[in-house]
Amino acid sequence: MYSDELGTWYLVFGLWPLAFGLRSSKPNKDQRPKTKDKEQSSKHKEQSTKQMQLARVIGTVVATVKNDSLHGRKLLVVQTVDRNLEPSGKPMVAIDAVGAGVGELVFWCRGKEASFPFKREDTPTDCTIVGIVDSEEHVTR
Amino acid sequence: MIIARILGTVVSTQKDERLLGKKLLIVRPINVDGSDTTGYVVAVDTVGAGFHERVLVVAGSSARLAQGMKDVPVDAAIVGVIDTVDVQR
Repeated sequence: MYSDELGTWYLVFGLWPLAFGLRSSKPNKDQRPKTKDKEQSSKHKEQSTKQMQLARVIGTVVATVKNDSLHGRKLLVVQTVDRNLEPSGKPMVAIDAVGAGVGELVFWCRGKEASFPFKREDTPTDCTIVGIVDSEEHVTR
Repeated sequence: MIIARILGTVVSTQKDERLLGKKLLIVRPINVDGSDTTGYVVAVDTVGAGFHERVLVVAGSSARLAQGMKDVPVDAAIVGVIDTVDVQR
């Protein structure tokens, strides 16, 4: 009986520091993911500027002499737009995979994935138009 | 892809053997209106471009996908010589 009581007291008092320890260590644990989140969000921001996004086709490029693997491809100048569809950033030259025209709102992708709509190992492009937005009303803000 | 203007050449004797016979050029990215920007890129020429020509430069791993560039350690390649850029604003 005595030893049982001692056991319960020991449990009650003995576990308090543990509980405090856990509580005090928790904020640290919380902080760590937060900074990670921050890093991730900044990374995500960077990536979002690198990956698929909206753009407006503002012009065309003509190149007669080009790498054989680019023969027959249409080159367009695209201007990236922000969420309000206002121009932001520098215009880039993109290959057209869908038949877009000047003035249209399109989405496009960058990086190695840009070559996926074509013969994957055979088309040197880092910027490809992969879709046409039907109407600007479809872009929800 | 970016539009760039060729500024000069790079001569390198000691290089990766897969780069043997490849022409290295210094290019400067330019705006669509033809004005220069800052900075420069060393790109491998795949089309035979010349001085002061406007060219198309592909960057990143896609540069290796150009014909004749398979498994070549490059991350910027000149894949076209630009005749005209027509931009409507």
